[in-house]
Amino acid sequence: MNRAQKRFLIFSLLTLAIVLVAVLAPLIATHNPREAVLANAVQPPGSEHWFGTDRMGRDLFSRVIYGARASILSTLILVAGILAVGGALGIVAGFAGGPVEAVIMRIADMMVSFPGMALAIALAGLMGGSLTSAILAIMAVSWTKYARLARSLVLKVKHQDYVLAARVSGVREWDILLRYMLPSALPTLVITAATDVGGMMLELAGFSFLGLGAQSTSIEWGYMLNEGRAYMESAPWLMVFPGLAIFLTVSVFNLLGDSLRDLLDPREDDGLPGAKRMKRGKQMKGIKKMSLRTAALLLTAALAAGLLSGCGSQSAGSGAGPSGGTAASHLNFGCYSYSDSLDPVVTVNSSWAAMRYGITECLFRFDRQVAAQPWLCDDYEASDDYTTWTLHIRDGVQFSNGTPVTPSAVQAAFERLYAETDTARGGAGNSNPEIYLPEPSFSADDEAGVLTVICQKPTSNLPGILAYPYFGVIDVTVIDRQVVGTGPYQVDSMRPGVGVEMSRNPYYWNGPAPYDTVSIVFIKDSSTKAMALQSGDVDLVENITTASDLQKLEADPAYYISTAAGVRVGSSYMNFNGPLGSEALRQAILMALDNDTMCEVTVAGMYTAGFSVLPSALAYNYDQLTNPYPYDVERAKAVLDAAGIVDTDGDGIRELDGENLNLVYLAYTSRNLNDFAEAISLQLQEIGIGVTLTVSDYDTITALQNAGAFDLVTANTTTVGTGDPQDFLGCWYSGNSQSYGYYSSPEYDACYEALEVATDPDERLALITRMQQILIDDAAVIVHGYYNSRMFSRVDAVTGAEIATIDYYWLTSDIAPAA
Amino acid sequence: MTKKRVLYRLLHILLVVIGVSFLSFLLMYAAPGDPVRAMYAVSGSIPPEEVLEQTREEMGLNDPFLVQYVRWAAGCLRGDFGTSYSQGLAVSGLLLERVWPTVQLALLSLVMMVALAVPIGMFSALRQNTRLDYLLRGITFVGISMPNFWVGLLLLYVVAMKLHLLPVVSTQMNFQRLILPALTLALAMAGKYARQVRAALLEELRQDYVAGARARGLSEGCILWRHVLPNAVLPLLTILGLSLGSLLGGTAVVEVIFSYPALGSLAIDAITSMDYPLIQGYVLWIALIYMAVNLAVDLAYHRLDPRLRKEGPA
Repeated sequence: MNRAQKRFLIFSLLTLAIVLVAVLAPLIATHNPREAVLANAVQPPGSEHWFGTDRMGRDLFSRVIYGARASILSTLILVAGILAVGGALGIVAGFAGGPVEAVIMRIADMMVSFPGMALAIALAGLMGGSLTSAILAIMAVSWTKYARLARSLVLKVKHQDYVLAARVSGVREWDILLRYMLPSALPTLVITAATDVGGMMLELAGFSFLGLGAQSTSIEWGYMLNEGRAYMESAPWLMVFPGLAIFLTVSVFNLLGDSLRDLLDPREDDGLPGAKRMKRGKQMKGIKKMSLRTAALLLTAALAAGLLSGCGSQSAGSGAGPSGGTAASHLNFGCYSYSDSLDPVVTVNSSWAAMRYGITECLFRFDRQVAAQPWLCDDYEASDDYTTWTLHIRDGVQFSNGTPVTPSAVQAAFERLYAETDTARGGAGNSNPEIYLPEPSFSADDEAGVLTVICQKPTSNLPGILAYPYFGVIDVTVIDRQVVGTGPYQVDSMRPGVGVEMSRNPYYWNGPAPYDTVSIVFIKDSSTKAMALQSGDVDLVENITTASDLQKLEADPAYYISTAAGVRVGSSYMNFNGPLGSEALRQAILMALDNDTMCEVTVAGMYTAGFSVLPSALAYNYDQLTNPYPYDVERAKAVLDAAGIVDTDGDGIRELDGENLNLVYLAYTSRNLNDFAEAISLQLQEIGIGVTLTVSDYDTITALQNAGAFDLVTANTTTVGTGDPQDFLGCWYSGNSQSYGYYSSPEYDACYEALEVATDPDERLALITRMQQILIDDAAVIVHGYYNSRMFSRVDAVTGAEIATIDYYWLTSDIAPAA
Repeated sequence: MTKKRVLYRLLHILLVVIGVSFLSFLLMYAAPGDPVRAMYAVSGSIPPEEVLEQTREEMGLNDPFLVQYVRWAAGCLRGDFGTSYSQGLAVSGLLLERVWPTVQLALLSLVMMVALAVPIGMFSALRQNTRLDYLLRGITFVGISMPNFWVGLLLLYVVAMKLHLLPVVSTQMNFQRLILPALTLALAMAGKYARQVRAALLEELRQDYVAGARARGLSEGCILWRHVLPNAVLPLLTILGLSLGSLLGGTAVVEVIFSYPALGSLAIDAITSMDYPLIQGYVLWIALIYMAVNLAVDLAYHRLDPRLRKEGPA
């Protein structure tokens, strides 16, 4: 046995060992990989849990062992598939030539130039996001590589003399294909495939990273790795062990591929007689010696070039950074970019962007309790029926180009907004202010400084509606050149995807803006935001959502973190047309859920826990509400037992009306909703309630929800987009509640109908408070908590960086250089 | 011959583009989910079904598939790729803005990769089965076996945050901004290519023409640089073309980590917000760019490999 064979044997055995681990997973694992104890979440490695536990309190060692199954199997299927399809087509194409080659290679061109990601999404959309759709998508674009390789290998030997000789001597084409073409192409193809196993495994992990591959219900290394990414610093084992598993497996497969190459290469070891080989070896010595020197030179040059570019940029970097000089004050603000435009009429996101960056302002502005307060409008009056509003525009307000903000300028801005929604009038039709304020008419009296708004129906909440970013006041006379508003800063230049350069609005009405210049830097990734803040590249960032980064910054006094329990509520609707029609079951569910732990650990502080559908930070009397169903697992079980929902057949699942309880839970992957759903499923199983969890994208879930095919469905909803919760509370009005679970309560309906016509603020508040309590008492909905907004700043550089409750405001004139 | 061949290929490109555009349109058409609903969902509240239906009608989403396809294709021919649902801006403008950064990133990472892979591969091959060979192959294993986003985060953490050699983020679109993302991509590819270079070199060095050349008294350097290396590297050219293609379309992970504004992350955003016009425009553009690159590679391949030069559709 020669060396190549020995090495091949060793790596084959190693590969076999890994495969055995996958096959024998139940014997090796120490725990059930799906069994979760929420109280044990994120434990470090120890004697009980060798690799620690994950954020659901599951044993990581067992999960890594079980993960070998999905990870290896899916990778092998993928590679075998592309090798077979690609290799066969490539060899045929290269050998046959002519139209056959043209057709195959053109299909290959088409598939390979079709971006794999787009195909994956489309497939994920068609079949649901899963490993299978990821495998099919990668397969569909990757076989072409093998086809091209096989073809080029065949082309290489096609015109060799021995092939010609074979053909001349009458060997059939089919035999030439099998006996000359296939053997000449196969070694390289197999080697490529063997080395590709590792790469493909990483490719699948990359798909999972982007949320297109394995889902939370499967046990797979790539998904574990991505899940652990949020805990990179605080709980590194969550990333280290799955990462190590991938790394080791990939390495073994790569080594196997390498040794296979040595083995299958007939020209190296077996093809040559010993004597000739030695002679050739001697000859090659010269060539090796001489070109080693050249190669060394090349490598040194490459490294030197790399170092130089690094050093060069270092000096450039320090020069370009914030100068911290005395004369000019400058702010670097890092944030996610939701829009390439700043014009409020283009989309919702563009209107939000302009307001968040401090470029535009509205006639009204929401305070910390999300009540609309006068802003550019300083005085207003409504007719008794709330259809006609007269708004006085604050005197002396100017746009950042010096043009005065008159009522007719405001009217022009609003009329442009409505014109743009209408494609018939030449607009793009992307914004929809009508959903807040349908077909208003405006008239301006510049002498009196008054703008009159006439609404189609009584609108007691007009100030809240006009505080919505769509109604940002801009100078329409220059809109074809740039977006000019009344905010503390004005745009100098914008590069989509990169950032915005801004400077002080010299005409700002509400005192001088604190910074001479501001650079907004667009940052997509949450960890990158944290690093940019720590490296000093930015002084201020919004919403870092990675748990470990958050914990690290919270512990460091060099950073100030402003947190607001925002206006978004995370919840799961319960479907009353089904087992959840049972009140006892609903109450037991609410009592079985450890809401505080879920908010603090499972979703790592992204939510503030709460039990009402309206966020605790708003002025809707949260502190007067009572929760009759606090977390108490024993009471939950007792309630179920008392209601006769018990496990009679001993399978661990309780029965309702003689059937095993199995709730269909739908969750979409946004703002940690899938994490809540996963944790809730596990907790319900603990008290004997079976749950089938489906995690998918928003649209798939919405479609299922509209079809009524659910018992529980997640939602993350803005409760008071225009400062009033009436629309949101309509979800439980029996006239609207089909999609939200068929809830129906005569008292709630009566309150809602009263709310629709009530205009007196105190009366409205009383109704809203009562409605919240009705929902709580009826156990109508699982409230997870309220999505937090945060602003992070460097204490040494910035002061006054508070986050608003409603996330329309980021950069305000309160944010100023530290003294 | 070349002129005819190029024309021939251009015709093929046209066919492929039509195929790609049709397929992408079909896929988006068949995908479940409602773009109108998704459009409104951005604002947090979805209007009643009548309004949705009216919007669908206005946007032509209720027309038969072929009508929609032809309307879109005709627009594309005029340079009008439609308006993005999620961004409200012209698709061509959104894409154009990101083409140059994408090309820069792809080219720089290829250059970095070649600068790393070729010397490593040569070292490994010329010192086959020595300690140096094992060491270099070990390093390439690490390069191949590490997830992309892990390497990226690590580089960002060490180079930018701890050593302050480069900024973590900046508003300047300059060379500095390119270095780390390009390096992340290059490291992942370099391992693979170094192994390919090594394998190819070893194979070529054993060919009889090497002995022949030596017998004719050619110098060792001449044999390596003029004969062995070109022959070894040439087959890799096709793979390089493929790599360039996937770099142009599929670097989303790295783009997200480094906040780099290229096409991949734009596509991911478009896809998650069901922005059909943007997705379709993206797919078509990528396909076009990709095929242009492949044409160039194929032409170079035919030019460089004398064995193929005889062939041709004559």
